[in-house]
Amino acid sequence: MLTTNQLTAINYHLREENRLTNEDLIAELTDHYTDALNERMVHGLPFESTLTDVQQAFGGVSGLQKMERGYNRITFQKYDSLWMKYIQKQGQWPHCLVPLFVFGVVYWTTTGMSRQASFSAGTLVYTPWFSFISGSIAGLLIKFTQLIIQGGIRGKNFPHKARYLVVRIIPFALLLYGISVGLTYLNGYLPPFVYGATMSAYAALIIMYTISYSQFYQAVGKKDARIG
Amino acid sequence: MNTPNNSSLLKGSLSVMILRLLEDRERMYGYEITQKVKELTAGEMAITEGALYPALHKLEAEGLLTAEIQLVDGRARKYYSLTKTGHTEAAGRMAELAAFLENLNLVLKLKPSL
Repeated sequence: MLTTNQLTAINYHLREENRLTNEDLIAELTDHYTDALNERMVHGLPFESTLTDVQQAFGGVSGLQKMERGYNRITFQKYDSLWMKYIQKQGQWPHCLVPLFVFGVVYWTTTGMSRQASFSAGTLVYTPWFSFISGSIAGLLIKFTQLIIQGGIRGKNFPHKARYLVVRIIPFALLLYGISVGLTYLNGYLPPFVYGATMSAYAALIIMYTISYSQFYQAVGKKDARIG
Repeated sequence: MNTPNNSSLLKGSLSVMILRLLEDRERMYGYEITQKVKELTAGEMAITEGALYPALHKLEAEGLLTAEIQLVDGRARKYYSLTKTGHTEAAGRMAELAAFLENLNLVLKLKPSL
C-alpha cells in the first residue's frame, strides 16, 4: 500500500513532470501506476526507480504525451457526436418549435424593413447579429482563458476542452459571423422574399447553435462531475 | 519479451485482444488487462501501455465498451465491460482475425519451389 506522500509524488509526476492535462486519463493512469508500483515494491524495489520503470513502459515523457494527444483526439470525436446529437434534437418535434418560431418572427419583421444598398468595411460591424456573435466569441475566449489558467499550458498538450473550443466551437461561431456578412453583402442582389427567408433561416440556425451548445456544455460538465 | 517487432504485429490485433478478454471476464480495468495478457502468454507478449488506454477509449467511443468508475482504496478505477454491440462485434472481429492468421500461416508454411 502506497503512502500519502508516494501518491502525491505520482500525481506530481503525471501532471508536472510528464505535463499531462486530461483529467480522465490522469485518473486512469494514477490507478495504473499505483497498481504497478505496489506490485513491484512488494519485491523490495525502491519507489523512485520503480516510478521511472513504469514511466518507461509508456515510452517516457514523449510516449505519455503522445498517448494523451491520441486520447484527446478520440474525446473530440465523442464530443462531436454528442454536439451533433443535440443539433439534430433541435430539428425534432417539439424542440423544432423554437427555431421555427424564430424563423417566423424574423421573416415577419424583416420583410418590410429598409435595406442597405451598399457594402463597405463598416458593414462588417453593422451586420445583423454582429453583437450577438462577437459577444459569444468573447464569452468563449474568456472560457478558453479560464481553462488554460486552470489546466496550464504543457508544451503541445494543453487542456483538451480549451483545445476543443479553439478547433471546433470558435470556428463555428466565426462561420456564423461569415454567413451574416455574406448575407449582408448579397442583400442588394437578392429579391426581398429570398433575402427575408435566408435571414430567417440564419436566425433559426443561430438559435439551434446556441441551444445545442448550451445542452452539450451541460452534458460534458455533468459527465466530468460524475468522474470527479 | 515484447520486442519492437512483435509490438508492431500486436498493434492491429490489440482491440480484438481487449474484446476477447472482456468476453471472458465480465469487467476489467486497464492494468488488469496488461497483466492478464502477460499471464496468458507466460510473459512472452506484453501490451504496450501507451496503446492500451487510447484503444480502450476508442472502443468505448464506438459503443463497444461501457465504462464504470468505482472507488478502490480512495482512488477512481475505471472498469470496462462489453456492450451488447461489443459482444456481437467481438465475435465478428475474432473470426476475421482467425481467418487472417490461417491464411498467414499458409503463406509462412510455403515450401520453397525447386
